Amino acid sequence: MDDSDKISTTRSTQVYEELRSLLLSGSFEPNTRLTEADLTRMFTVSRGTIRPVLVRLAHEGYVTSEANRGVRTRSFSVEDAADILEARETLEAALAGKAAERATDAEIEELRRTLTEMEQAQQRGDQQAYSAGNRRFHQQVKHAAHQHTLAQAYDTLLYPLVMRQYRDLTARHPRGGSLQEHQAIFLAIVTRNPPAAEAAMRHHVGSARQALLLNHAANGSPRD
Amino acid sequence: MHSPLDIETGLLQGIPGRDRSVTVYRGIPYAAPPTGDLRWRAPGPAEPWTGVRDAAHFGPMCPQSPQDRVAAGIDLPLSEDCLSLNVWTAARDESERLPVLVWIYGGLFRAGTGANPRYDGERLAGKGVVVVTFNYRLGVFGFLSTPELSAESGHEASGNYGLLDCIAVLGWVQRNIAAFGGDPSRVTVAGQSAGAGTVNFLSMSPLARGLFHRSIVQSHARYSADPELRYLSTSYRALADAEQAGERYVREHGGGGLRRLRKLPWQKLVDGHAAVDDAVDSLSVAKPPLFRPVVDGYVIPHGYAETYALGEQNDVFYIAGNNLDESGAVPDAAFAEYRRAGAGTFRPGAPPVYVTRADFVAAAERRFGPMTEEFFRLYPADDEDQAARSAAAAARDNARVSTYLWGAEWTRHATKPLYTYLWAYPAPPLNGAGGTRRAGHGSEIEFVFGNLDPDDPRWSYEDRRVSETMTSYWANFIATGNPNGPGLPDWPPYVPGSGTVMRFGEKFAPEPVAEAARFEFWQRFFATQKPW
Repeated sequence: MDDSDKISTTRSTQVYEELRSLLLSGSFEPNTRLTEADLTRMFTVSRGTIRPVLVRLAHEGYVTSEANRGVRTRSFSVEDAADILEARETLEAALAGKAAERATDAEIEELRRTLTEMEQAQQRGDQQAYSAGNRRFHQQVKHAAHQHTLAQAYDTLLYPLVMRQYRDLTARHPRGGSLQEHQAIFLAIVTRNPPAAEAAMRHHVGSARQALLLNHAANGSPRD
Repeated sequence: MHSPLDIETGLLQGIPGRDRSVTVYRGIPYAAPPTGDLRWRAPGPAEPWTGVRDAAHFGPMCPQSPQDRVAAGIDLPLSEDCLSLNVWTAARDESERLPVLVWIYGGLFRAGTGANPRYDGERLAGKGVVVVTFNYRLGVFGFLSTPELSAESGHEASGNYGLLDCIAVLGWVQRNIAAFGGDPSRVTVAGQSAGAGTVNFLSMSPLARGLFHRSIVQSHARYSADPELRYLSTSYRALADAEQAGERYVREHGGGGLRRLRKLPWQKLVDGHAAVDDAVDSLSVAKPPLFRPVVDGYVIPHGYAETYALGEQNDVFYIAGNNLDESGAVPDAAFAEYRRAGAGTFRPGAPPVYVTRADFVAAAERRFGPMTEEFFRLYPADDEDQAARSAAAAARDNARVSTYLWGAEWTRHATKPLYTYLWAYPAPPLNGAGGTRRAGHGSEIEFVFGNLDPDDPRWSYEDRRVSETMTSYWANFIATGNPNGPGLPDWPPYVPGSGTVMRFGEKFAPEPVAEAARFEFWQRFFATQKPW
């Protein structure tokens, strides 16, 4: 076995990123209990390395702390989820508005490229590539807003975890209208029209919310 | 291929690739989910589905270290329900019979995914090859052996579930690849590192006989008496050792019988990077991972020396090669980087890189015993830089002589040609990491798959030219068993006694395996070692 090319950087930062990414990937069911022992084994680190990582992730809301030295993955109630999604609508609309004011030419070009990739992915029916493009588009809008406080608030939203828990696996993907909604946001940014960008983003995020299983999960029955 | 395909488990709809002549099918289940009572059993048949299955998503990765998940460069979840495969084909309809490549990923038998973008099959498919990548079980899930598992198996054997997954894929290819326009009588298995080790094991497995017709081994085909083999991907375990180690592992994870162990969530069992096999003495600090294939008398009947001596290997066309900068060899320009990093920066068990005189001398004394003095006459270490250069030269000569002697063993009873190579082309560092260009471990992968992103300025014009040559060699070999073709530098087949290997680098031409005195030294050193 052979990997003499690899030289590692700071381990605890790595573990934080890896565990966070693992949580966001949907590798654990909501409410899965993870002990420190499980995690030290999985990451090949000492408890001293894993503990601050767990404290940080619990503080950021990715997991909840368990009394006897472990954590549990989050399970969002319908109310929690609706609350987070509402916050996302407000925050991201504001970010889109700022992006329409402040995006640089290079940032607009990046957004255009991402949109083209999403368009091509949609034409091919490549859902995986479309989702990747979708995530990138939203990140690029956030950066183009040049508004650190809003961006920071947006980053701590736990919206991806809510999506994981409540997304409708039986629904068509990407959602009908999704690409056009992104195009409308882009158009408002290119034409430097903040109110239009805010409205387009609010409409987009709202539509995405409608597609989640929130309303149906409330009475415990899956869609259809 | 625009209408749904009809395969044994149902109808399947693919999606066009970026190259519209290629159709991609992702995440096709080839076996039953190996979960619950099916954990640590041979893979069962995949569940049929009704309606048309949408093959637009890669399946989850098998449980592995989260560090490796991130390194794979694709955001997929870990799940024990991971036995899926992916197909790229440029066939217009199922009347075509295109040659097939089945790619086996590397990663120490404990990491990897067939969805890794490095193995994207689109470019090779564009060259007329049907490309299949897949996931096989890893780590404790793929290679746990215990007496209890052996007893219940019906074969008195356990520990090769990951290999049985590979064999299940080859069976799936035989039954289904014609629907994708593939030719089941022209199947190549290829892999790098642990994937290459797997190709070697499949070449020795009677269960895989007739399921493939050519092999490509990228790194690590080694001579059985080369002590380096003991920690490389070609290392295997004896059944009794594997069972003993497995029992210990189970005890360390709470013990109990199989009923309990099959109920535990995978998160309680998955091993990270720590599980190395300390019982193996490779004459250096390098150790193989604990979980790896087993000579169990069933999937693998015998070790290398015995299999080759008996001529019991699967007699297929073969390509085997090594890289200039692997197994402890690094380019001169990287010495400073390694000295700065110091010891302890690699994963446990990794092959040591000697960049200081003291380390090199101590290691050589341990390794060569009475032959140490002679070793230093051939690989002098008068100062720090000379020691580092000699350490790299020794690692390279060791690997080349070893693969050359492996070739002599392999060809003794083989009737089909073997082609050997040395990948010496300096590739740019991956993932925007710093460091120097080098022919590092696995650096040939993008080149043979043709996956040099056209928008990425890291790849030079020369890189793209070299990749064009490599994909052509590989595609020709997959089609015919001979890598040569019009416009390509001549790559002569292996001839015992020739003492040469094909070099891919600043030039593409055969060159001597090693200087005569050095070659002879390694041959005598190996003769003092017990074959693995």
